[in-house]
Amino acid sequence: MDTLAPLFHGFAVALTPDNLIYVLLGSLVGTVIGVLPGLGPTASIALLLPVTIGMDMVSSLIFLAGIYYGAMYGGSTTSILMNIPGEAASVVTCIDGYQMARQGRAGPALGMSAFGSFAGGTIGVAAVMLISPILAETALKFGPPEMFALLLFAFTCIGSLTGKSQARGLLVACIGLLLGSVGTDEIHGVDRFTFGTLYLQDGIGLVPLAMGLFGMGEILYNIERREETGSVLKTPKNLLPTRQDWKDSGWPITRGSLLGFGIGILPGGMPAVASLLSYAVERRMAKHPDRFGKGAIEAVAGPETANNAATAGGFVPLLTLGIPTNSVLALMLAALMLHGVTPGPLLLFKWPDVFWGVIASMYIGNVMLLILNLPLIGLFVQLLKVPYRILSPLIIMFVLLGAYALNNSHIDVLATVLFGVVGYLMKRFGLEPAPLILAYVLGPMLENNLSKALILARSSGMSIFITRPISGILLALTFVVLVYPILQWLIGRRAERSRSSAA
Amino acid sequence: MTVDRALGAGALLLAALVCLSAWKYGIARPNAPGAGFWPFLIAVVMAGLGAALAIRPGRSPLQSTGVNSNWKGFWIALASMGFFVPVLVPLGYPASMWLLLMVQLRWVEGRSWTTALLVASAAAIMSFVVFRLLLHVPLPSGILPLPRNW
Repeated sequence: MDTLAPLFHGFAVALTPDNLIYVLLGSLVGTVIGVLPGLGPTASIALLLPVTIGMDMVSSLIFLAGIYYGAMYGGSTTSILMNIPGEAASVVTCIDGYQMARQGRAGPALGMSAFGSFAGGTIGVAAVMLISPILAETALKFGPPEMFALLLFAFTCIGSLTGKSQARGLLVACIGLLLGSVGTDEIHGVDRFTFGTLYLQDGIGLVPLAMGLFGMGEILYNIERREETGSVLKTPKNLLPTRQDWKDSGWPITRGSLLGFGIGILPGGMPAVASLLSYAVERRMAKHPDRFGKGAIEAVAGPETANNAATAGGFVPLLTLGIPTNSVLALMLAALMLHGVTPGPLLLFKWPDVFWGVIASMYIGNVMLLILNLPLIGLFVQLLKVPYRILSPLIIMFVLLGAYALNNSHIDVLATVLFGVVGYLMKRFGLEPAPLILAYVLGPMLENNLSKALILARSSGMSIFITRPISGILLALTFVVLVYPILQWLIGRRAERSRSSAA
Repeated sequence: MTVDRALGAGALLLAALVCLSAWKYGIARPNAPGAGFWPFLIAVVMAGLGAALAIRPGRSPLQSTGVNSNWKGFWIALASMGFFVPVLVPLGYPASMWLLLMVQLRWVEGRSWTTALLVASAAAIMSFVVFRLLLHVPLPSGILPLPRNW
């Protein structure tokens, strides 16, 4: 009952006509973004962030959350019909989804993917609702040392889990931390790295940074690496899975929901990781693993469920601890901050409308997406026929327009273009921009808590982090995350040596 | 030279510059860290990671061979955006955006003159009307004569 009363309040917030429109709009925009290859949810949310400034605080978050989970729904469409993932989390759906389409079973693949997404999203939101209040209550007991240790742990996981190389990821994250330290220092009032310019005194703007790195960077990359797909699209007719399809997908959907949610709440636990892991689990548990890669419906159902559950799971650390676990959630955190909301354990108690309103909107959005997505498949197929060569200049227009609209400043436009070049270079040389943006957002929080903890510690200095049990445990976990890949490498090298000596 | 080695060298150089700046901001104060403490800490970690990458680099080469790279389109796109920034205020949004879209559609994307003219004109005018009139974003009108109440 303790949970139901605030949830009903959340529904009262989410069911207002304005918010219902934002749920619908966000879900549809998200689905379209997911359907269109080459424009992921991070880039799109970055582009739409300036638009949300004029909105009510709850509505803006409802809208952005809708885009996020809508993109997860939509991502499967291009994977199944064109063998091109609409966004990263749908990469594995290509494998069996496209094979099903080639066998004339695109309809059941799309149908099961939509149902799996709905199940994963709904179960995930229910888990968010149950876990978040408990976590927020616990986090209220955290002081600056515990918060610093927790943020450091999250930061290390993010740097380690994104991309192929831990050192590269952490280095990119360090650059993000540096960018986050530009501007007037809050504690001492000293200007850092401003080079005497007024523009940099308030720090580097998140919107030009995010729009540049993700939006403009992606566009420039696509212009340079132009590839024509040449695929012939047809609207699938029968979307309903057979009885056998349901039977095959039941357990993968259940497992995908649990696995996806578990991955989603971990720092660095992106939906793409959840879907990949779900595919691996399903393949291992399958009675006939040889069917995988040849059009197995459970290989579509499991990953599509897992990525939606992970999307919901990511809201737990965001709303209760103020820690975004991926770049999309970092932008949502920025959206909250732009509206004057301090994300963290107090959010649940000080701004219950935001928390419960967003949770309720996610239930509504999932239902809307299930009802709307299947009948709209024909429309999405038509949309995929619009040439990217027309869409690309229009996306550039919206990026530049959004950058200007933020502060009516052409310097923001210049910053967006410059960060676009940086984003392009990062993509070209295989560097993930996600740790940079996450570190940029987490950096000021890390510094703030570190300074407060050191002031609190006075003469005891850094030992405050080890003597307090929670921060001590979190720092030990951070150490494990850092050392594990080195140990793995050493063990691998030793095994290789012993193999070669035996040969 | 590999990406990792270049990245490591760059990180070491940047870390050295940040350390110097951090020193100027002040690293420590009595019983409290100074304004330069945080950047100094980041620079130290960065230097360590940079050294690790430079010593044990991965295998991806710095000059990745681009298959079907459209360099001409890339540079035209970048130059047109670079041109857009300084002319945005003096020429105004509709004219500068129209120019940018024309260049993108005609020379970057290779669309026909008719398509480029139609799409560029429609997009520049519609976005100006929507953002200026409906969303009240004060987009500069520049050389475009506008009624007073706009």
